[in-house]
Amino acid sequence: MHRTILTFQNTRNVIKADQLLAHHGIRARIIPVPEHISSECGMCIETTPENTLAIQSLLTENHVQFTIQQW
Amino acid sequence: MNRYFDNGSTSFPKPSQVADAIHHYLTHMGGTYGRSAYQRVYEATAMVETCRDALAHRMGTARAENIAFCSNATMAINTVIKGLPLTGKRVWVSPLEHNAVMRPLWELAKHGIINIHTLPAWPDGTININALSNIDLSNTGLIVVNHQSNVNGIIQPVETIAQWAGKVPLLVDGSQSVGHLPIHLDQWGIDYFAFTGHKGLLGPSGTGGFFAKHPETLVPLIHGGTGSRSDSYDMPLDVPDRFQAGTPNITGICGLLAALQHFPQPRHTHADLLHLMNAIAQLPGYKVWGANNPIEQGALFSITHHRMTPSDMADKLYRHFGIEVRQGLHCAPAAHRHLGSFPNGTLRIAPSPYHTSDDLEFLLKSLTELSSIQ
Repeated sequence: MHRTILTFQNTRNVIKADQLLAHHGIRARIIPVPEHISSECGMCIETTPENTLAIQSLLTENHVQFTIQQW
Repeated sequence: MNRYFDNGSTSFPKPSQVADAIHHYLTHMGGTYGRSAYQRVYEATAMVETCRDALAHRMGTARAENIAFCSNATMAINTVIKGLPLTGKRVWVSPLEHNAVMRPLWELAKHGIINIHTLPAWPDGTININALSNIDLSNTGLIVVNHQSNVNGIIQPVETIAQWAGKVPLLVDGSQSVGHLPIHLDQWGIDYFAFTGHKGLLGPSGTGGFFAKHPETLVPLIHGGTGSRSDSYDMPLDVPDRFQAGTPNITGICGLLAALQHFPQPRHTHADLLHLMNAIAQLPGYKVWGANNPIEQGALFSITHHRMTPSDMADKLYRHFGIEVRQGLHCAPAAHRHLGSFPNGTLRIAPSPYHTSDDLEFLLKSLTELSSIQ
């Protein structure tokens, strides 16, 4: 497993999540949504596996719905 | 001297930062909303969401995602009216509704889809709260109330009306109130609230939208691409995407955000406005159309003259004093019928925060001299 991707229901949630992660010093980057995980044409967030727990906690706490994809 | 008194139609001037922000977007920033992932798109998308957050703060709701952008309040109102299951239902309206409400309702009524009823009101159009308890709300699909009249500026007690409405959906048309009055959507329990960006908020035209407390109750008016759930022909269920098909007016929203962030300190007080209204009412031949109770008076009002028609007055004010105002029915024939100013309508005085008390005095002096001009 070497990639961790967060996908969201809509773009607003991507922005909210990215701003929350940046505010808490969690490294992440915005990337186009890979076709094999979704047919979206927008953006998602890539981070590293060690951040997964912190991100889950932070986004859930702030009511930002998301899905984590790892492979 | 600021001689533009047509801010009920559209505001002018805007904060200088509005044009700066639009220029910056068009010349340097660029980028669409949420359709790719490079920095330019991210910044444009984040800007749109910052504007949505700023609007939510301004309108007193913690649910920014429940605010959808539209091209104007008319489209927002159409989205709500045509998105609700109103077939066979009654719709109650205030007597001061704008055609942005009355025309979509009439379109449904003339095809036998709904029945329109008018809420009981006082002569100035303020809803008679005491009489509401006599109304049978059974089989009612919607109640619509213009928060601040675009004709006489009266402010409706929407919080009290929302309490009375209970579970019956309430749509508040905030076209004239937002930017001028404090708005507390969550506290007041408003179901749907339509707003525009180019009047009281001092943003550019082509911006506006609506708040929906329960967006799942509305069928989208416009269908199309959202950059999300693109594998499906169905519109997404989640907000704001559900109501935002197509590329939004990013340029306009950029300007609207700048307006929200740089809103000017008002240069005249509400007392100055009331003083102007009282002074005009004292002038021979003039009648002022406003709220009976000064507490319920919003940021605009109308006048008529016993000899000059509204169009005569508007023409003379412009030619002799350079004063710009709107005359006629203001797209609100229902309001004029209720007030008794139909069919000629009125001349509307709609100041902005940029008017000083000296500007208001100039208007008063011009109206004083106007009646002696042949």
